[in-house]
Amino acid sequence: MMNKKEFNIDKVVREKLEDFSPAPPPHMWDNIRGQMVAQQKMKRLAYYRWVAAAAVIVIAFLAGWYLSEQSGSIQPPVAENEQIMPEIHQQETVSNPVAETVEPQFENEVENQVQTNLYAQNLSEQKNKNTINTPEIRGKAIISNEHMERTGMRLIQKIGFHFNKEEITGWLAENPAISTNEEYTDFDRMLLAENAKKYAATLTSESGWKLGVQVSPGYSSQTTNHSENYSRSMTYSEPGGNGNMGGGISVQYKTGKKWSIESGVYYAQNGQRSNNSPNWLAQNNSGYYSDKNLFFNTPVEVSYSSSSRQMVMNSVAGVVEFSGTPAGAELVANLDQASERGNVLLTNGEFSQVFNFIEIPLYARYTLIDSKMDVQLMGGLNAGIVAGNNAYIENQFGLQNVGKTQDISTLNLSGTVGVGLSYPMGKHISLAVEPRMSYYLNSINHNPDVKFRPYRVGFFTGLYYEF
Amino acid sequence: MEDLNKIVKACAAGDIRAQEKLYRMFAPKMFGVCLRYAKNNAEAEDNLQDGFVKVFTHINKFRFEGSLEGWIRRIMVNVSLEKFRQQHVVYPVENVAVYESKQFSEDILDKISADELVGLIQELPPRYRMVFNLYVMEGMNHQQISEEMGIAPGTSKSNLARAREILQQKVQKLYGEIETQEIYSA
Repeated sequence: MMNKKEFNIDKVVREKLEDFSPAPPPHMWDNIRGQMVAQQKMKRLAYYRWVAAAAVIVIAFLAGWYLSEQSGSIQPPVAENEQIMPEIHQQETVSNPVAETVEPQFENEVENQVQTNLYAQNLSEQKNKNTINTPEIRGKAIISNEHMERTGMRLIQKIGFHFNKEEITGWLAENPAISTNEEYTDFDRMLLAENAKKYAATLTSESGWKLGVQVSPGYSSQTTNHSENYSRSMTYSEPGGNGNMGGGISVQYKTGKKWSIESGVYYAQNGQRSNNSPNWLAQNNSGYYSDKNLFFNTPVEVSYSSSSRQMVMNSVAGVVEFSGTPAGAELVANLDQASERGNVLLTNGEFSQVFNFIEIPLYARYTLIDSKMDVQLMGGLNAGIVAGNNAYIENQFGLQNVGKTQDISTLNLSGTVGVGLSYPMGKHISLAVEPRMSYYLNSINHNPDVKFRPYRVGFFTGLYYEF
Repeated sequence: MEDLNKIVKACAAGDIRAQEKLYRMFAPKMFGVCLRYAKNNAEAEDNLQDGFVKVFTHINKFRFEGSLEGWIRRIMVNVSLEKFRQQHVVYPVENVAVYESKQFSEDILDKISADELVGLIQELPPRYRMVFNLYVMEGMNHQQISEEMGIAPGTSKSNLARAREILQQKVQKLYGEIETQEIYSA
């Protein structure tokens, strides 16, 4: 018979040790802190390596893409050459040497570019090889650590969670329809209460607002297409783009655990430059401009009426309407029979067009990795409003605003894709770096002879404040 | 409860003061848990340290679905089990044994201190110690223990029986008075 006063060893141990709380050694907390700091440093280092590797791959990809674009866009100089030829034909004795010099130069240009492309490809391949090696090794180390961590967490979950009885009783008291319904077992009620609690927690914690301020150093360029007639008297198009600064403010709303939507106001700049083309006159050692090696020389159309005088020029982005004759520029008679225009604008300077956009975006963001450093994919549309439209010539008289481009649509649409990396700096603030690419879906110039679609690659860097 | 939630959230955000607060709240109790599973105090200290690092690393995954203490305790148990697995891989399978369960008088219960009892448990062979703790203190059944430790349920039963037997002998050595009351089988 079992005596009430007697206990077996299980009970003795349980009763004695259940609330056994000896003081751990005083140095323990410092050890824990030390271990955590070391762990955080390791993690941060691993993140930086991943980010660096990703950045190198993105840059290599962009460089490859950019250079491959370049190799296909050598066409515009042909139009420029045609326009110069008649001037040379006037002096028959020198026409042949000129023709001869044109050819090799053109060939050289192609050859150089091909070589540059090959070199760039090799370089990007090498970069890829180099960068892939290191992350692979690191990746394995991280995966094996993560695997151990996951196994650990699985074991914890296996032991099972206890339901908090107080909370469940409280919830049931508030919901008599469930607590009094006899169709439910106690277990059902418990599950219902837990689910209700979980759902309420999801509602409060998974949605929220985020404000962002960003600057965006970036690179702008464009894809263009012109009718043959238009391009015959068009400016020489410099094949590259240009670096510029953008930025803005954004508002994000988290709609679920993974998704959020974003809007805001951004400023972006785009445009194109027309470099000088070789001045053939200079090579003949004759004429007023013989001391200049390079010149801006594009056919223009000058029209007179009783009320106004207008000068227009075909540029890459559209027809430029001059507000006056730029300082340091000369109008000379155009003897190029291929062009319908009677004059050529000559100046020893560089022509550029700049468009300033105010962009109102609507983006969707998807959280790919929700960890200490979040990784998000984002994409969407921008309404791009052209707020500034200016044409400039920069020569010995400085940078002059010479007019504007005609037929530019005020409202345009562009598509954006990007990758967002954000790192928490505090409770509410996080630092974000987001490489994004925007491309205009329509030609911003509605002149039927001109297709001008700008794109921009920018590194949006800034801070987010989460409410 | 509200305060504890705030502390947990602050810990998840990396607030060092909140982490220290949480540590001060739970460290003694968890040290008690680690002591039971370890072979000595040094191992218990190591496990407590590793356990708390794990708690702070994973606290963002705590969803307030159970008690925080229970969650932390499971991490400590898990760290102890992991340590055991790393140290002791091969064990012979033992037969299920019918054993005698001895009943202690309340006097012994009053006399024996928690420190003494922990000391006795620490002296148990490692697997007996694990099985005994999981069965008696965590309330797991033999099936769960066998899955947890990768042993047969029968082995778990016999290990528990042996652990009880050894503990009883040790208590007997210390206090002498044990009355045999009933025959039990695991």
